[in-house]
Amino acid sequence: MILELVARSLVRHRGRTLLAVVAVALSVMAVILVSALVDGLEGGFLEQLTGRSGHVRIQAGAEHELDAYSLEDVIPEYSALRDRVAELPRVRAAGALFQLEALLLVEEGRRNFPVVATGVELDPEGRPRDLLAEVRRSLTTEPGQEPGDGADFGEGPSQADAPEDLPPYGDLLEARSPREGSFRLRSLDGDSPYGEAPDRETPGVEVAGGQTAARSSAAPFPPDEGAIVISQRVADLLEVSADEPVVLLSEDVTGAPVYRSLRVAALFQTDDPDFDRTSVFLAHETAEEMAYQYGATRQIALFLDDRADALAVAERIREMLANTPGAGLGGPAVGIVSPERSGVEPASGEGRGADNSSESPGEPGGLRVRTWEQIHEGFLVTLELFDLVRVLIVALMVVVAGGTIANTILMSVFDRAQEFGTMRAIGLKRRAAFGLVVAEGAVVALAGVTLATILTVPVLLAVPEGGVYVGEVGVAFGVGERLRPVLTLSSWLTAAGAGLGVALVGAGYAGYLLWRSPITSLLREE
Amino acid sequence: MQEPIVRTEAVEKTYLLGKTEVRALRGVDLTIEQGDFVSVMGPSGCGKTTLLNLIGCIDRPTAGRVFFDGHDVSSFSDDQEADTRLSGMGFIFQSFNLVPVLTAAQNIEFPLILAKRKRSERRKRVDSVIEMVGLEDVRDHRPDELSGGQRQRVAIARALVNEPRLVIADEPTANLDSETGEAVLSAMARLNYEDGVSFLFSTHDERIVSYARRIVRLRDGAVVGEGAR
Repeated sequence: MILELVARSLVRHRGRTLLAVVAVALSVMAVILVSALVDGLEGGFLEQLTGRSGHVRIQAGAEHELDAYSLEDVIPEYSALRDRVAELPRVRAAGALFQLEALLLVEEGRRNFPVVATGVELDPEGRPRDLLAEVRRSLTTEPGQEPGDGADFGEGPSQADAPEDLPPYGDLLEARSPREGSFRLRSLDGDSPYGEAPDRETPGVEVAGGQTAARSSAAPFPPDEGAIVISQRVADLLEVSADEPVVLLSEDVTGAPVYRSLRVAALFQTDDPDFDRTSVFLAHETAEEMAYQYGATRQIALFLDDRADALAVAERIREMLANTPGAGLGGPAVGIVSPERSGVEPASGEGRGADNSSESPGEPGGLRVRTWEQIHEGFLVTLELFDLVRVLIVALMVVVAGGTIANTILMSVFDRAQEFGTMRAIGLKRRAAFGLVVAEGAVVALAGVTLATILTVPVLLAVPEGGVYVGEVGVAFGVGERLRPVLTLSSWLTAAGAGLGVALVGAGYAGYLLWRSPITSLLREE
Repeated sequence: MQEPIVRTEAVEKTYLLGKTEVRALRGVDLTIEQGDFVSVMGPSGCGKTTLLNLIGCIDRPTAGRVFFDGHDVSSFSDDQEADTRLSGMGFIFQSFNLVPVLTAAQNIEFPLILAKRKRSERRKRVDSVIEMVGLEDVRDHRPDELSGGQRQRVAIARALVNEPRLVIADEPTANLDSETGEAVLSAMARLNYEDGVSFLFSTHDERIVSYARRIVRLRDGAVVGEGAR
C-alpha cells in the first residue's frame, strides 16, 4: 500500500507531478541531445583524424615527423610488412599511403594550385572503408551533385585523351622547389628518361581465399592509375570538373621535376576546408611512379577493430620489428637507382632506400610506429574541450532543473505537511517518511526519463547517416555544415542518471526538511 | 497495585515564539489509570493540546518526566517514540487528519501496515473495527466522500485498530455538530466501557463533559482542578 500511497499522492497532485515530470524530461532530453551532439562531433572528429592516419601508423624515419617534401623517408618493399601487420590480432585492415608535395595544373599551367597528393592503396583483403572515409563518403562525379557513396563512376577518358604538348613546367617547379641543383623535367606521359619501370605485380585485389581479382574500373576510391580525385573546392579554384584532365607536377626522389596528366575521376567535399584545399588523391602506384620509388611507400596505416587497442598493437609491431631486423625492409626500394646509373645527382643527400635496413635509434628498423593518440595529441586536447563543454552544460542543466524539481517536490510535500504529520503521529518513522518522499521523487524521475526517451531517442535514431544540414550556422560555430548526433548507451545512461539524480536530490532535500520537522509543527500546517 | 498507564511528573513545556518565551505547561502532575476516561478541559491556549502531545510522545517536555506504561518516554529515542505511538496509543484529531488519497478502509488499515501485520490479519481486524464504528457502507469511500461524523468514526477506527492501551483525542468533536459529536463520544464511551480502552481527550465544550468519568481542568498551563464526575 505504500507504493499505492505514493502513486495516489502523485495522481492527486497531478498538476505539480506533471510539472516535475516535465522538468525532469526536459533536463534529460537536453542532456541526451547535448551528449549526442558532442558524441557525434567527437566521433566525426576521431573518424576524420584516424581516417587520415589510421589507428596505428608505421612510417619511415624514426626520429622525425613525416615530411611531404622529403621523399627519402620511405618504406621500401612495404607490401611484405603491410601483409605481416595486417595479420596481427585485432588488426582489421592495413593500407599504404604515399604523400607527395605537388602542384596541380590546368590550362597549360595558367591555373595552378599547390597540394599534397596522396597515393592511396586499399587493403587487399579488408578493403577498409574507414581509410579516408570522409573523402569516400562525399565523392561525386559532377560539381553540385549531392555527395554520396556509391556514385556512378563511368569510364573516363583514357590516357590517350590526356592533353598533349604540355609546357615546360620546370620553371614553375624550379620557382617552388626547396632543393638546389640541376634537374631534368621528367614526363610520365611518355617515355621515362630513366628507362622502364621495374616489373611489378599487376595491381589487383586479393580477396578471401587467396584469389586475386582485378580492381573494378568503376571503383571510385582510390582512383585508378591515370586518375586523380580532387576536392570540389580545388575544382572550383582551378575551374575544372569531373572527367576533365589535369596535370600533377612534383619532384621525384632525386629532386628532378616530374609531371603526369591525370583524369579527374571524382570530386569530394569534406567539412574541413583546409583539408579540401590541400589534398588530392591518386592510386598508390601513380605516386610511387612519380616519386620514382617503386614498391615503396611513405606510411602504412592500420585500422583496428577497436581503437582502444592501438597502444597494444603498436607495441606488438615494435616487438616484431625488433625481433626481425629489417622486417619489411628487405633492401632498397625497387625503383631507386644509383645516381651513377641514372646520371642524375640527388638534389640533397642520399636516398634512404639504399640503407634502410639500418636501424635508427628511436624505433626498430628505422621505422616509427605511432598510435592515433600520439599522432593527434594536439587535436585530442580539442576533444577534451568538447568533454568539458558537455560537463558544463550538463552541470548547468542539472542545477537549473534540480532547482525547479526540488521546489516542485518541496511544495508538494509541504502541501501535505499535515498528512505527513498525521502519519508520523500514528507511528510512521522519520526515515519511512523520508523514504515516501524519495519514492515519489523516484517515480517522477522514472516518468521523466521515460518521457524524454520516448520523445528524443526516435528522433535521434531517425537522423540520417549523413547528418542534418545546418549550413553556415554550424560553420559559424565551428562544427561543420552538418550535425551528426550519435546516440550512445552511455550518453542515454548519463542523461537518465542525471534525471534520476536531480529528482532524487530534490526529493531527498524535501525529505530531509520533512525529517527535521517536528510532528507538532507538521500537524499545525493546514 | 497496577501501574498507571500514564504518569506525568512536574512536566513543563516552554516554546519560543520569536524571541518571546511562552510557558505552555507549568509543572503538571497527572496520573491516568488503565480504563480511565479522562477529559482535559480549559479555555483555548491553556495547554490542553500541549499536554496531550507530551503524553502521546509527539512532543518532548522542557522539564519533568512523562511515563507511559511505566517507561519514561521523555528519554526515548525517536524510533522508540514512534514504536510506542504505533503499538500503545491511538490518536484522534480535531480535524480528523485522514490520508485523503486512501479509502476509509485503507486509512484504518494504515497503522496495521506500519506494525507489519500480515495481510489476512489486517483484513480481519479492519473488518472488525469498521463494524464496531458502523462504517460498513462507506468502507471504500475516500475521506472527501464522507460526512464529518463518518470521518471522525474512521479516525476512531484507525485509532483503535492496533488495540492501543490509550486513545488520545484532541477536541474530537470540535468540527462536528452537537448531535454527531455526542454520537462520537457515545461510541468512545462504549468502547471504554466494553473493551476497557483508556481515553484521554481534550475539550472546552461543557456539554460533552458528561461523558467523562474524570475531569482535569487546566488554566494557564497548570492543573487547577481535578476530580471524578
